[in-house]
Amino acid sequence: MGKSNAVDKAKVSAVEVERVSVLFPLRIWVKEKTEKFGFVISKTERRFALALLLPAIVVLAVVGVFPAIYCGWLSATNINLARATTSFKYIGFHNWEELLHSPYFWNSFGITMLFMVVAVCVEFALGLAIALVFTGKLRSKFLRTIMLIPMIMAPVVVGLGFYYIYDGFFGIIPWAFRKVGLLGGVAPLGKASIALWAVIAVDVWQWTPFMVLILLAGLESLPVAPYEAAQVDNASRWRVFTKITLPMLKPVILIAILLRVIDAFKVFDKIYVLTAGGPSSATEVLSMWTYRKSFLLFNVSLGATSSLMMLYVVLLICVLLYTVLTMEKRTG
Amino acid sequence: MRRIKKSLLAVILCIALVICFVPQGTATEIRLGDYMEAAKVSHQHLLEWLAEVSKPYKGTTIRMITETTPPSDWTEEAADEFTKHTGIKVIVERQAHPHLQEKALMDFSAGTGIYDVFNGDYSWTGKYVEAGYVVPLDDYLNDPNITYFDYFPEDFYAGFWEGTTWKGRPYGLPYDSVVQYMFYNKADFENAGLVDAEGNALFPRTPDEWLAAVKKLHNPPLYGTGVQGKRHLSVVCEYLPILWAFDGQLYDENYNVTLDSEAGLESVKFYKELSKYAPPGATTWTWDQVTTGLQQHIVAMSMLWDENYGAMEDPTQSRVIGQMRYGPVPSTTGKAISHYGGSSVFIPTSSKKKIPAYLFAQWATSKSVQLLGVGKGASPTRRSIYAIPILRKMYPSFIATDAAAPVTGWRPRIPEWDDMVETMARELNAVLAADKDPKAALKVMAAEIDKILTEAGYK
Repeated sequence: MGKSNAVDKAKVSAVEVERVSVLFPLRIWVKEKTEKFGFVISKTERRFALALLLPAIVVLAVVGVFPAIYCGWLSATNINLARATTSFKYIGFHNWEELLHSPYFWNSFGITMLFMVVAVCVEFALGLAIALVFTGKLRSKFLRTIMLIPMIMAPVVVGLGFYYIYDGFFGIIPWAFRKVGLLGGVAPLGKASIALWAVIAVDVWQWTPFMVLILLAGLESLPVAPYEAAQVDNASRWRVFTKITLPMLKPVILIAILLRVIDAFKVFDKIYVLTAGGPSSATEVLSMWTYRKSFLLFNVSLGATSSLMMLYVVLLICVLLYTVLTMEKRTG
Repeated sequence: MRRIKKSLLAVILCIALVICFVPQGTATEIRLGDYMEAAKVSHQHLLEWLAEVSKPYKGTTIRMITETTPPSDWTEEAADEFTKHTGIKVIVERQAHPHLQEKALMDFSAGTGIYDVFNGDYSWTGKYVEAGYVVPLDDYLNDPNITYFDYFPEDFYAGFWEGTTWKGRPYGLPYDSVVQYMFYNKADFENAGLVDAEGNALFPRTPDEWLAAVKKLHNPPLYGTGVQGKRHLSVVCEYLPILWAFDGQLYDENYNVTLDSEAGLESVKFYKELSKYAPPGATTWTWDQVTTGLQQHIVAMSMLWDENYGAMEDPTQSRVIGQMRYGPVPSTTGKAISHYGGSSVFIPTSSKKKIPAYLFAQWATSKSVQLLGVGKGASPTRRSIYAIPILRKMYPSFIATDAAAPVTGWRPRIPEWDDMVETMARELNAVLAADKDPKAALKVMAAEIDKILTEAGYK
């Protein structure tokens, strides 16, 4: 009994020492997670795990954390690379003021939101339809594989390909439009009223397979019992879809939408290759606007401010979607 | 002076010897060959001098950043010869126009010294000089130990030379002439009946004649004109000569904006009307697509930079060999309108190899290198080359450039020019591609340019 008390006291002292360590919360989190899965990890093993993680943490800090902090500093200055960078000034929130009062910034913001909402909604609708087809009568593995090709192509390559497909003189789409007398054979990328929809179509072509992939995985992991019960009750297919499939699939849907929303909000490469933000400002999404300010006008301070704004908006969207997702999990 | 006279005498004797003793072929071949042989002789002198003065820099590597243009192709092709004689290795990095500035400014602002020679647009002179990013060249030019006695900077067109001086000091050596004027396909003009009494193609002299010619030539799949309509520097460069053709200006000598004058409005309306006869998608075109359009006989005429003369005569690609003719932009004032868009080679302040870089820059802009590069991409900047009769016969654009260069129009060289381009490109593209009202677009341009000039302290 005495020996046991001494051991317990030693353990308590060790815990007290650990509490003052900066890694204490991390250790507790790792311990809780591993114990939940039935693993018991010793202190030595934990240290080894942390040592293995350290390079990744350092890289993340260098390419993620440091630029974010540096961006914050830049946004408080008036640095322009085309002027002598040795004579910059701290200007506080002046860049934020300029940003929020700029009609061109808000135009870009609106175009970005429109692009994001339309592209993701269409990708989701098409993706779900295709996923349902693949879980139904068409279970071809070959089709599932080739369907992934657009998704694995580099966005720049996709952009270049569609640049020529849309070309007013050589492109197959304007040629087809001319043949059927549609839109006067106009080049889609050269007309402000059509260009954004043309770019959205390219994004839908490339990323619908991503939606299909995630939704298909979700559909194939749904339990069979509710469907059997519905069959017994002679429920219609629409009722099965709306009352059983969709509710059970909601968490997967939210994750798929969250991932696509983040990506669509910061789209750049396709826009750069296809239209560079034109015609006029018809496709000038926020990332293009930021690029112009930073690398065509070299106003890196304003560009940094815009980048931070984009970060905050994306974070807000992620928090909202994640909140909905976790609420679903708690009530479900 | 005596050495210059000796060199010229050597050249003349070579020409005379070649004419006397080279077997007679066609008249054209012999005369061009004469000039090229003479050029090679004087070029050999240059190389021998370079080999001597570059001895302390043997084994050095210098890096040039330049635009993806035909003159850069020629420089890269010929640079091996420079390396062979000097031991200075040259890496020529080519970038598209917007990326050229991006990369250069990253290097200059950080002081990393990556680039030793910078081929920059003359309109960037004020920006780079005021920021302290490029060094003045007068001390270099006045040093006989590093400046070739026969370099002869007076041979450059005065406008090209002054384009990269700032507050009286030279900062760049003219490298790429790049004058924008009209390219006409004379065969199309003749087929359309746009000829004079002798049956020769009759090119327009006023904007009204210009538009009338475009309409007459317009017969898809051949389009009346090309247009550099993309939201890009190209649309601004194409618009400026049209503005000048209507006797308009961006601002006056006191920096009061005059763009939204009657002349400005007429010019934008004219530009919009002209664009209706361009191929579909021309609002996504820059000078590259217009070059292809002319070369592949998709468009009958267009405004374009003279450095693309080679593409029109390229036997491996062009469908219009021997058909292109060149002339000033038709104007309401009777003045010969053209637009200078040339570039010069600068030495960055951050370069740690300024002398080898300067030797290379001299070589690249020397008469012999520019002459030997004619037809291979070079777009010479020296008057004496454009005066050579056989070259004027072989390349009709040389006549147009020689006439245009002394009077060509400049775009602003102030540091705020990029901000003005951003505004103008957006609004002009909106007029062409988004049916924006020309008056409304002009109002926005004028207001924003006025704001830029006021905030920068010009007024």
